[in-house]
Amino acid sequence: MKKIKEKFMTAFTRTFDLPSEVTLELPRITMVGSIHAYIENHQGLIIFTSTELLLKVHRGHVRIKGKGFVLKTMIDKDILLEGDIKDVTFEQS
Amino acid sequence: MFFKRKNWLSGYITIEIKGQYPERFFDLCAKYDIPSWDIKKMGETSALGKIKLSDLPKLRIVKRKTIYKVYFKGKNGLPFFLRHLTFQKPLLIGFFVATAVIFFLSNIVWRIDVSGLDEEIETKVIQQLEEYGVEEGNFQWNVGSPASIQKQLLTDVPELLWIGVKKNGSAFHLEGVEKTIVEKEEEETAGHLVATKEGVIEDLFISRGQPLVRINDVVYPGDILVSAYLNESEEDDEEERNPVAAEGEVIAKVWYKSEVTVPLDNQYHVLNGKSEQKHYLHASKYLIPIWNFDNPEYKHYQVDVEEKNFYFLKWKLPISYINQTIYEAELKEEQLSEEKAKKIALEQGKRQLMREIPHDAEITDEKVLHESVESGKVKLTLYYTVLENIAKKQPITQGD
Repeated sequence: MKKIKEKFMTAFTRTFDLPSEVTLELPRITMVGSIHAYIENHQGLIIFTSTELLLKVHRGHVRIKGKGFVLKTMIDKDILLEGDIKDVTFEQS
Repeated sequence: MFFKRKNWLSGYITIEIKGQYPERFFDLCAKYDIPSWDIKKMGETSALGKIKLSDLPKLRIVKRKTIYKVYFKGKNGLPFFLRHLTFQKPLLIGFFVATAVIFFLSNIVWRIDVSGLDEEIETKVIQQLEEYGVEEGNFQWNVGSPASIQKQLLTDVPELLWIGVKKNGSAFHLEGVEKTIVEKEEEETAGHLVATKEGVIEDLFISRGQPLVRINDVVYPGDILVSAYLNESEEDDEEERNPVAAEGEVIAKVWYKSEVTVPLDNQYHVLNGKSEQKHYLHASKYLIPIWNFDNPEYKHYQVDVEEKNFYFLKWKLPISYINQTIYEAELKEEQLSEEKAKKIALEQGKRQLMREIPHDAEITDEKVLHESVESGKVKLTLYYTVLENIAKKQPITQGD
């Protein structure tokens, strides 16, 4: 049932050319070089250290690795990460 | 970030969270609508972050639901800065003293310039100014307005024809014009004497010129009374004749007619000498009484208002001091009898006439032509006979 709904939403988004982060609840990650990462629409912070940031997103996790991490802002569903970003990985679950 | 300035104004605090996975506390904060920023992990079990001062009550609620320990590490922003200032008494006192000193110095008369006058009169003016309190070093609120100074100076220094008093910040600029007593040049230009008014000639005193009128002649305005040409009748050749400046007095009987009305009931206010002073501070549109709070119970009154401004450096402060003087007035009603009203009307008519005629003229006769009482008013038509000099010089235009 869930899969049918998901498939329908993907098709719906494609046909009407809607922004996918809105309809599919996907995170939007904007990066400025390797020094800033602006993550919108995440679903919760799990781990934050000065070298790692792990966020829960829709159907999985986002893991950002690097050095000297500071969370510049933290508002409800948005996070602005500052630091030396080395690696961004999606982990499907 | 963009809201940092704003946060500084409203104040923010740095908190330290201790416990397992302290970052999750901030995540929880975000879910409870408490924005946080500058989050830094200090170690396995501690993290630093900043939140707004106004979110502190919400933070307490969030904290109660968790097992994390919250420590306050630093306070920044304007509210804390101001609170801190109040502990710095000497600084605060110094600031107020400095402001007060600047305020007082701004309200002192610093300079008085007088221009356009002789040294002698200038010193006289300056002396007079000192008497009014306008001198360097005096406070401006002890000094009257420029307009009143101007008026006083003009009456107290008779040598002045005109003086302009301008207040420019803390300096007074005075610009004067002296009365220069010009020696009246004997006007030796040739001319006739002509009549200025209609009348009957009563007397002639001619020192130079050829009189063309005789006693009991009726003359009209513009008639030549005394000709500048001597021996007019004998010589016909006009080119040869030399006109002289006719001089003399021609006294004529002139008649004046005037109408005077005097109301029978009079109502007028008379100040009876009682007065009360009230003091106010005037800020924008509010009047704040600072002395004498109760209103005098005067039925009729007259109010005099004097306003004094304060200055800070060159700016006029929106606050001014107002001194109100309330004079008690009495309403006087007077019912005049017709006799009395007539008498007053006669006097009034005479006063009016005196203003019109030259002061060496003589009123010889006074007649009431018509008298009537109409809707509470006495109306008189008066007729005066006046003896006055009606001669006026009229130069002969030359070279025509």
